[in-house]
Amino acid sequence: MKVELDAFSGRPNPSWTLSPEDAEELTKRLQGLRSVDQAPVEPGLGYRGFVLSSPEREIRVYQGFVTVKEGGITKRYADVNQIERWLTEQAQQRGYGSIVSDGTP
Amino acid sequence: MIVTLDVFSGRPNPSWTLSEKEARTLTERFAGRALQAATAVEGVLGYRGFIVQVPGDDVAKKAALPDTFRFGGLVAGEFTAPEGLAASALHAEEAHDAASWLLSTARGDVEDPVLSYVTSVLKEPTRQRETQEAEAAAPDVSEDAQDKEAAAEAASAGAALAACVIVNTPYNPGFWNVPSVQPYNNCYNYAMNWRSNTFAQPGRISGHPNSVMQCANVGTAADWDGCKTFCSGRNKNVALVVWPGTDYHWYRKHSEGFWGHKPGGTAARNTDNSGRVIGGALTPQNCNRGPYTSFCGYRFSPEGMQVR
Repeated sequence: MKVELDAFSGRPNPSWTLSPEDAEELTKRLQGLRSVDQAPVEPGLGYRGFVLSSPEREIRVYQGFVTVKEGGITKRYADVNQIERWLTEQAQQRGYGSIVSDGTP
Repeated sequence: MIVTLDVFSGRPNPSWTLSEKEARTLTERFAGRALQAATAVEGVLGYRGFIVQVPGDDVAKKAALPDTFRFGGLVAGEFTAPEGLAASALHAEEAHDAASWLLSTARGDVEDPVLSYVTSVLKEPTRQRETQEAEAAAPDVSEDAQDKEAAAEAASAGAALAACVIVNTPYNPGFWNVPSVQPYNNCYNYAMNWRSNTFAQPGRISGHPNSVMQCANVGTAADWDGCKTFCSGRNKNVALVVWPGTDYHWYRKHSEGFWGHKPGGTAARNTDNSGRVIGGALTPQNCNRGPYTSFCGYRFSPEGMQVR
């Protein structure tokens, strides 16, 4: 599964592949999420969260929301299992810390 | 009228007031011509031109002059010529004469060494920039490169630029914000209005790719592609900003008068990071750009310009 740090406008976003262990961890963190009706604020320039993509679905994690697009259906959840924080740590390990904390609210 | 010689980097620029007679002469020379906005010029050390301030808006209106404009130097800001109107820019020779005359009105306000320096630059105005580009160029046999070299040679030989015609098109986000287009086209595709589906990069189509995320480097790469800092012929207004050391972003002006942009693979829009429409008093220069804190300047993208 590919992880994309969605932040850039001109250059392609930084991305990496989840290790098998991390893929398992992700599956765990996607369990027991609470559905929500609201949508996150539409972000613009700068850090916009993480996008996890596989052939079947796309998962966006940003500002406490987890948005899952699968088979043409979009579902939204609260990020109760701190997926964004977990992915931020991965980004920091790869040297992308300054991109995630660009100071944009 | 107050004239400022835009030349220094550390010290305040010298400025002086024109006599009534000189002010009339200036009006005669510039009235009704396509003039550059007085926005600060980035990336050029030394002579960057003159800034003229007209005291009263009634004087400016009568004289068909903007209340502040930039003149001279090769780096242009946003033209104030109205949409579609073929207000002609000054030809190279006219520009040279006018700049020399303006310099002569300075009297004691500009020190001798600075006067000599600017005089020598005015003698070879177009060489200043084109030479730098020529030096940076590797040998290239593509037709495109030959055309570009020809244009540069023509410019430095004092040939007139084609009349500037601003041809901004209406805002059409629906073209970009569909699944088959949106993820594959970025801010550069949008600003230059060319859907390549390659997430285009400045310099790539012209064979001069760039990886340094600073104004000068991205700007030079865009130059190579055809997006210039001056307006010759039919062009769209665009603007370049940079997230220093990290990324770049572009805006394009629409015929409605506001600016549109497309942050990476996200949807095209005409609002800034605060959700305000980028129009009227809000411009790419003063709007909320998130981390893209460096405003590199306004540029011109020729009609039909392609990117990859």
